[in-house]
Amino acid sequence: MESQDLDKLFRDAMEHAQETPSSRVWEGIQQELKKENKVIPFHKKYRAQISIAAMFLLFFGIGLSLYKKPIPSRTEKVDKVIASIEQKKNISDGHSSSSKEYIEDKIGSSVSSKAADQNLSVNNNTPTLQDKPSVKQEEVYAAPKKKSISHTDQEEIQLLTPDFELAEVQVELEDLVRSLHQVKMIDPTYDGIQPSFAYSTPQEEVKTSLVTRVLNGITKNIMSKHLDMDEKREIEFRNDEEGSLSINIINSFARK
Amino acid sequence: MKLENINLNSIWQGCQAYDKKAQALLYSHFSKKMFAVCLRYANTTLEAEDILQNGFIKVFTKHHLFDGKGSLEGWIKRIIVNTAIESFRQSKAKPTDSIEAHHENTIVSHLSSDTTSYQDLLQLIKELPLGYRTVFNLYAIEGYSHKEIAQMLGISEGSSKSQLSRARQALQEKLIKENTI
Repeated sequence: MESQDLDKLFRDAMEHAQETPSSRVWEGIQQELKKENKVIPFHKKYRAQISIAAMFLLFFGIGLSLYKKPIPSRTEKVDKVIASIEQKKNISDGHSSSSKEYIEDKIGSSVSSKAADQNLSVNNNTPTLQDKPSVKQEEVYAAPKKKSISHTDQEEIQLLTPDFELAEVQVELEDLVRSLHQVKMIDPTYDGIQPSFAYSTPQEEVKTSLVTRVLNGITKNIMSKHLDMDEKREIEFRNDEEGSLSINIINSFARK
Repeated sequence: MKLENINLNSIWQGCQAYDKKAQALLYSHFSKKMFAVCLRYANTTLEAEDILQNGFIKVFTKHHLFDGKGSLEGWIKRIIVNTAIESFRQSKAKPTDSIEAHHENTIVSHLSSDTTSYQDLLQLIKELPLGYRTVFNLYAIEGYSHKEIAQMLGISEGSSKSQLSRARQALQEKLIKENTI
């Protein structure tokens, strides 16, 4: 018999051969697999469910960040305040200017004399500067007078918010004084205004979104049940401009 | 056959997820065929069962090594054969007498193939000494080359060739003897 034929004979016989092993084999396999299966299965078995849940969470998070109200930055808030002031200004031109005039008469004399002195000193030192400040002075002083003629009816309004107007005027006059020292013509800067304005926002502002509001509500409920507390901000959640969440628990430690 | 393939796919996926039911199904599907392979390589039935057990444990724990290319059956068979060879490498130090091997062999089986030829031929193989038997199985039945066999068994190609020729010789003689009786 050829070698190849011999090989083929055995090969054909063995190809579909089947033999039944004893049951102890499967028992042994099961025992061994039990040791292996303890930690791994959860992650692999529920891979599909976990991945679906992760997707949902991802979309939820994205949706939250998109639906969150855009928090205006500091400069934007300042601009808003300025805009509202200017609006008020435009509305109540008459009475404000008249009050300006009124106050100017009282304080203006001293200021103007001061300004005049400054003017003189400026004149002495730098002839070029002389024209600009004086011109500006005249312009400003001229403007209110013009306006007061046309809007005398609105004088009554001034009684309602005198403090507001006073503050406004004072600062403006200060700015004018400041401007005399400066070469370039600049509009009065409002940097110093914010703290003194009644309309300015409180110093420490808490920015919140839906998530932080919910979390704050929950913590408030929990805290009020366990402790007698008057303060709201024992544990506080906040958002910043970029939307990241932060938790402030310093207060809760500081109390005790 | 197509249905079987689909089922096998889902069973294998279950095995990859360490699903016990899937593992049991896979074992029941392949165990008989693989046990026959084990019996060809082992000296005793007990040893054959050990090979089968260890082989399937590897199949279930190293499932990630199957890349999906080629048949799952082929991959499982390779694992079983490699496991069988391990016992050869271990028992290489102890040379077994062919006569002793013959006496220890007690096969209890339910065959689906042609009983006479299969049983007889299996018996002939089992009567071969370990080295001859292993090389003959790997070359003639599994289809490995001498180069591959040399690598797997840690022997030279020349040794593989010589052991194969001796195995064939022995088998032929026995066949002739049986036919003449």
